Amino acid sequence: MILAVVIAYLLVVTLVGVLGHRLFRGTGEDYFLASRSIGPFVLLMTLVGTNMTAFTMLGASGEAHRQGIRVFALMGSSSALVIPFLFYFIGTRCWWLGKQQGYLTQVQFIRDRYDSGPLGTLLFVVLILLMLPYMLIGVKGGGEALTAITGGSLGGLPSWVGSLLVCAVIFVYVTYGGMRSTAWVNTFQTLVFMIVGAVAFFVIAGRYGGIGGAMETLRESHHDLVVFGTGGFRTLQMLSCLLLPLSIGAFPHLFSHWLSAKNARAFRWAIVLYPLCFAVVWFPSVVLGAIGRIDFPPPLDGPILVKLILSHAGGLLAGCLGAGVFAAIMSSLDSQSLALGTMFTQDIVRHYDFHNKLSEQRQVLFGRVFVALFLVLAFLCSLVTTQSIFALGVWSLTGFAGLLPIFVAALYWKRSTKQGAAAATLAVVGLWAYFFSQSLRVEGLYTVAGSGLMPVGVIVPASLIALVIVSLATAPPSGIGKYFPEQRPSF
Amino acid sequence: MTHHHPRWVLLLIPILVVMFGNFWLWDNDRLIFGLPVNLLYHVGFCVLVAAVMLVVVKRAWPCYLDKK
Repeated sequence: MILAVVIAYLLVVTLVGVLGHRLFRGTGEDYFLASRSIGPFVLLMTLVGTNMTAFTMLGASGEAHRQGIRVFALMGSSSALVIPFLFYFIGTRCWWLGKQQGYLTQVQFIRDRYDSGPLGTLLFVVLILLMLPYMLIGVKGGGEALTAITGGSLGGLPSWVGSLLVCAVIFVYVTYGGMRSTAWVNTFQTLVFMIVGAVAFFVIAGRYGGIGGAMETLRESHHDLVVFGTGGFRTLQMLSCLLLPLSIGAFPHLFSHWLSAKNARAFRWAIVLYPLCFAVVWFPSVVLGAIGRIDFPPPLDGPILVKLILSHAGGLLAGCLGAGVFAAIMSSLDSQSLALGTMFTQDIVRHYDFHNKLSEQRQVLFGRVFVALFLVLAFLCSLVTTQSIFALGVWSLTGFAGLLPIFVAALYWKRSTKQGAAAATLAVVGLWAYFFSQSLRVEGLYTVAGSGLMPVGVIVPASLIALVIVSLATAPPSGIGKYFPEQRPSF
Repeated sequence: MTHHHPRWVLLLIPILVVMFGNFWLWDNDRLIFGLPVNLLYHVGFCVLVAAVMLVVVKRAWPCYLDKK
């Protein structure tokens, strides 16, 4: 029953994605950016869906099971605060530049802006290296979710089955339909996991006497889960949690979605409604995770959300949860694999080999081949990596957050130079490697010198400082008026 | 409509950050409408951010974005 629901869902997703191909115009811009035609509702749904990963449903509830409701603030409302401002300042500006100059990738923009091919290549390598672990979260998450839902380690399907299903479905609709299919499927999937989350919430909370009853019980038995408390909860940790969502400003796959917008006004819905959509998805996940502590003490042998549903609801809802988790995973993984395909085609093949002589058909073909290759690579890596998928996620986000000052400076600071941008990139790489190696000696969450401050709290300021100092120490760039709308004489 | 992204929008950020770090409620375990007060506060905070961004897109929308 559970598997039937999941398979049925995956078939529907594949169908929605394949339908997207019917509007395909055959050009590179259509394959990679849906010819910059995405309207406000689809843009909102796509942006929400892309940022919801396996972590949102499984990881958030797992963390809430450990730490309680403070997870909503640490990871939920922190993003709800930071991300709309990123869309407003960075998303819209990137869209404008993409439209004016015909960019498809961040690297194209940076190479142009700083007039430096090598800087672009350096950034390209760092972005790809940060994307791969982030993709692995989705692939491994799909595997672990399907295993848990079909019976866990004692009787469930092996995790490679779920991983393979996720990669296979995305392979079909992303290689076939590109950005258009991705946007449509993401809209559908975002609605699915919002609805599934709400239904699961009401069904399970009902079993505990409603949300109020459940919280009363929790307050009696596990008081520390209903407060934020000063014990394990420090100001530095909260600050770190505000820095991690900055990573979204540097995500290649978000950049692609921004550039696919029909016009700048399409961003308005996303800017205003994103915090509400985010809350709608995170609230059930966090509350159910905390409630799960009532009947399921740690340590857990599987995701708490799955345990709750299998105990308190039937196979149909468990199947729907499986579908919801897959929806959250695939709505990120499709964008990520398409972005990687776009980057390799535009930033490597087109830049180094064919220099604008690559025909539209060839671009699309290369894009499709790279998407396929990356999905295969991600699947193979998922079979051999053992690190916790969520630990991987935090490190990936840390790296992207460190790169944000470079993009902000490129968009808003005329005095920034290519040397400054390179220095910032190298600072991020160096510090990331240092902190990562330090973390391998520590159990649990690594913080700098045990202070509560996560590495992101050092890497982001260091990147900014390196960028500013080296830019001011090197010759100012010239001929960059076209990147800054304020300078245009028509105003 | 303005020509560029106005600076007053940047001032909203530290104000919202302080409100986000609601240290005055951290140890409060009251339940309001069945929810822990800290959780209710942060749900309300998300609604507040949406309301603030509505004002931002209406009053601080740079016109270069809409020029053909």
